[in-house]
Amino acid sequence: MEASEARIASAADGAAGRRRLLEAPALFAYAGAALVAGLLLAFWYSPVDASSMGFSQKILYYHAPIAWAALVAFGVAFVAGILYLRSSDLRYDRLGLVGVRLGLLFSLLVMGTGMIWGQAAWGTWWAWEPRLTTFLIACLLYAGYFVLRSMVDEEARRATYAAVFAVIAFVDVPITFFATRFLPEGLHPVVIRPGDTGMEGSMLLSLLVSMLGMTLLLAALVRLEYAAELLKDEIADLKTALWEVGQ
Amino acid sequence: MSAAAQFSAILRKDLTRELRTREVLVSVFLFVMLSLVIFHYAFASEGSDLTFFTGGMLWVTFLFGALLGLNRSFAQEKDEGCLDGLLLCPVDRVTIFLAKTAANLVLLLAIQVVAVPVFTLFFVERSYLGDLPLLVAVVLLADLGICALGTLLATISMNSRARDLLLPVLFLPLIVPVLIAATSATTAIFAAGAGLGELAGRLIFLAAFDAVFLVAAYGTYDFAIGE
Amino acid sequence: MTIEQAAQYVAAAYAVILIVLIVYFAVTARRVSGLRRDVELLRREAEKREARGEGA
Repeated sequence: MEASEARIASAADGAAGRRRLLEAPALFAYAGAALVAGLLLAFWYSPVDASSMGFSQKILYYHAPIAWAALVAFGVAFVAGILYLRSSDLRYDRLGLVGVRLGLLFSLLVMGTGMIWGQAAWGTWWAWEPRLTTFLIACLLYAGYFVLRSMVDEEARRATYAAVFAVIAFVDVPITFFATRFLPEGLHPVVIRPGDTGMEGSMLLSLLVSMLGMTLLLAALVRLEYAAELLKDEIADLKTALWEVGQ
Repeated sequence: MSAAAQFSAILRKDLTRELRTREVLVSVFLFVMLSLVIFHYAFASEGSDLTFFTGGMLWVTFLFGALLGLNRSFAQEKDEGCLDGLLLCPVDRVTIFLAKTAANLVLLLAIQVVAVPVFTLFFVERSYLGDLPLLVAVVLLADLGICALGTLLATISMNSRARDLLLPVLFLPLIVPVLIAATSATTAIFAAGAGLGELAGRLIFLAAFDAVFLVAAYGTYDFAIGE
Repeated sequence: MTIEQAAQYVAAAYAVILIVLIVYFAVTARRVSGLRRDVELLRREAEKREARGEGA
């Protein structure tokens, strides 16, 4: 009796804190503002690209920020993984899960926009060029993260393994990019690389604004999803406590 | 017992066990040989020149062979409870990792020592004896990366459901950089010959990869192997 | 490729981004409000049972 009442009480305390986390709408508002600003700048302020890509280069202004956001998300999972291994606090495990999930979402968007851009710029839907290839591998890699989680039943062990994998995976991503960019496959070097044009100042500004917007959007989504995970845990705790009270 | 003594003790135990049963050695070796035959028929069209595919075929074969071997040897360990016994001793977890990596490396090399000449017989036209030291370097560095990463991940997957399925899913995306470097270096050697100058970049890359993941394993193996 | 053709691709790319993000956000927001509702329900139930326990 004692233990379950205490658990209900502590769940209630936690609830107040978690509800505070849900006040993420401000972040979404800022993100939206920055993204809209970036879009306007990209089309009305930055000049059309002088290279052969021409107008299709405009895709870069969201494509690159999304790629950046994906890497930040994976970075969050990396840090969360380390913090979990040091503290064994399951909330870091939740944060890592959220980071990987959002990173995966953004990575898929990178590939989608990258493919559309590829078709517009080179006339082919796919090319084994460094960015597309690296993000494809990242998608497969972090999908493995979810496979790993689904195959370990015990919670602490699952969190530990997931954390180790998130750390290893994040270290591997830049290495993979480096490998695809600088180690020519076979004897024929990889040549296709869109965005080789130098970025003028006005282009850079639009890009940076959009990057800020995407980062804010990621932050807002992380907050929202993290709060959701904590709510799920709270529900599980409450259900356990209620079940015990009922005994 | 000093760390070095512990290391060699565990290494010797693993190798002796394998030598006694020869389970992993024989099956993986057969798998590798069969793969070579399958590759021949997979690319069969009269007079097709497979020279530029040689590096890829070789390393794909070794990668999947390594996966098979890793799965098997760790499954043996777990089923026989060897690991639990080992964990009861006051051994630094990292020493266990290094010893197991070394054991897997020795086994992989043992298979390759026979497989590479056979592969040469089947698929390589050119004599590359002059470049042999370079090939050995590539193989050693790539193997080290494969075994280090493989041992770390196998330790994790061994404790999960469907462990044979999980290991490839986790391992293959991570090992892609090694595959890229090793494949291109090996193809260069088999196809047209390559000097140290050309291959230096890839050798350094492989060495760097090994270093990075050995450090990563050093930091995380305590957790991977559990309490 | 003319600007009109390129513009179609550019529009498609931005549309994909917008749609995916909006759908994802909508799904998540709905899930979160569902979770909030569940938490409220469970907490009220827990308080009820606590009161009943103390009353008895």
